[in-house]
Amino acid sequence: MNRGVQIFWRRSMAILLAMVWVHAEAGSPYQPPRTKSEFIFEQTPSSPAFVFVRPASTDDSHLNKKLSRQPSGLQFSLLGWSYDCTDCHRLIAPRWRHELPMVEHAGVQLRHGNNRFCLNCHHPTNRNAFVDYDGSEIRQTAVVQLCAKCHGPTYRDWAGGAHGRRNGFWNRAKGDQTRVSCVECHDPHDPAFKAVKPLPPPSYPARAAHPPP
Amino acid sequence: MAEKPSPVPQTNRHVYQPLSRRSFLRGAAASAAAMAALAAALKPLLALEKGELTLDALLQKHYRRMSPEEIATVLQRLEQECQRAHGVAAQIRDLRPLPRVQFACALNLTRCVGCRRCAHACLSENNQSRESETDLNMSYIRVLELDKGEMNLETSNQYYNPETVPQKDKYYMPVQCHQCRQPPCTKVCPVQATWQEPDGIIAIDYNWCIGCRYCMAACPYDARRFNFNKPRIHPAAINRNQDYLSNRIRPKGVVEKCTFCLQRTREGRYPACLEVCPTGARVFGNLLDPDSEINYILKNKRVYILKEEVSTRPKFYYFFDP
Repeated sequence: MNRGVQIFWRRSMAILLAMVWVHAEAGSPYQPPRTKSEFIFEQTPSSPAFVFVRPASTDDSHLNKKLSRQPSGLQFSLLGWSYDCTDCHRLIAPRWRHELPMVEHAGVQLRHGNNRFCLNCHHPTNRNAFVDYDGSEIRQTAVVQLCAKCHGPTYRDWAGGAHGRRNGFWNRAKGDQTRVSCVECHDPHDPAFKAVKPLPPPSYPARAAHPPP
Repeated sequence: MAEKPSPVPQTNRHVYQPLSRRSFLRGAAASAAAMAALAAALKPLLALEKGELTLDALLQKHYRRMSPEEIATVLQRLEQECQRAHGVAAQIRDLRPLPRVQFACALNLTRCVGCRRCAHACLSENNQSRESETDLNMSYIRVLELDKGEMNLETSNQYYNPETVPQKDKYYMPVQCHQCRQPPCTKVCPVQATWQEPDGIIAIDYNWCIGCRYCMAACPYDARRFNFNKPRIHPAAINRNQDYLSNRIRPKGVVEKCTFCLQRTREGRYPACLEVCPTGARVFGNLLDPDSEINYILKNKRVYILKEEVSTRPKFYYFFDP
């Protein structure tokens, strides 16, 4: 072959090799940088990877983590003060007469679907407790078991993490994870969430072809 | 080939070849173009002279090729730049991926009410450029409103602003970077400024990105955002807890996107969008942990992904109850 063709082929090979080399360099899997620095220690599953990593603040004041159940009226329990039914009913006997409509606790609007009977949830004699299928008491702190009586699949989802919000650490080895009980989001007498005003939308592009929907 | 040159010049023309007007103009145009190209190529160096760009910034290596000491120097320099530009003492860290972790997210479409708290929390957490606190254009999360039963995302509306949500017969679907297992964005980057980290998050080295936006064209979910302007952010709104690959303040001309809040998740915390959701519609966890919440959903719920036909194999799942 003549000189020109030889030069052409040699340059093509050089370019090809260069491309292969570049591809190999760039496409190589991630390798952590190797160094002999005395500042680096081995990365372990529980420690951060880097001695220069200062612990971060867990200050989340810039995030609005409010739950959907807004306290209103006498729901002081959500503001931190809780009171038992017997706090009042020690002095005032609870009245239960089937023939007359109930006028007490009229502030409680019961909109719980087909669950229209107070004693489905509340224990008939112990006002501080809830009631199970067999009439036994469910403590107020175990209210989740009460809801699970009818909402079994939702309860199982809550236990598995598919229902309800969890906050804190997904990695429980590094910190606490909090989950909320049913009544921290749902008002037990009116469980459906109220409609809320959405936060502002993105701005509609100024030069869009179509008008805003 | 031309005639063989004779040893003795025959005429004046063989000694002195005058330059024709055509050749002169051609040469002049070519050299003017070359000089203009050279000037354009060297224009960024003017920033060096003006002091906007330091030599360290110009000569900074790709993140994946830097030693820890070099990264520490870079982090210090970036913290000083943040202090100078915004008056805020940020703490920029370099969290490495945790071993035996593959992050994934899931979203419950039965529970999402379209309140957009996740989109706004994303802004607060990730320091995007914004004109005001309600300027949502750079948020990594986009909430789409669709009609009940509608599967075509082209009919969606992200600009909904009714009096209350959820509206009747509509459902809401937030979309963000799905951290695909086969990401098209990393394939098309001409400078390898974006890559997949070992824990599954697609990261961007903002100092290496040249701003060509090929990745934005490649992404099937329109997950990436571009900084068209110098970052405009109120100093009081800056989240000081920053990381090199995620929520430090990006310069003009680079692409950014959801990183699953790696400044939080690589420390074991939940991402910001999940922490603010009022209905608990979002789930996050480690796919390699069989007891995690995300695995509960993949095992027990009807799960689907967006645009399955483009084989990106995303790690963001949508599900609904029961």
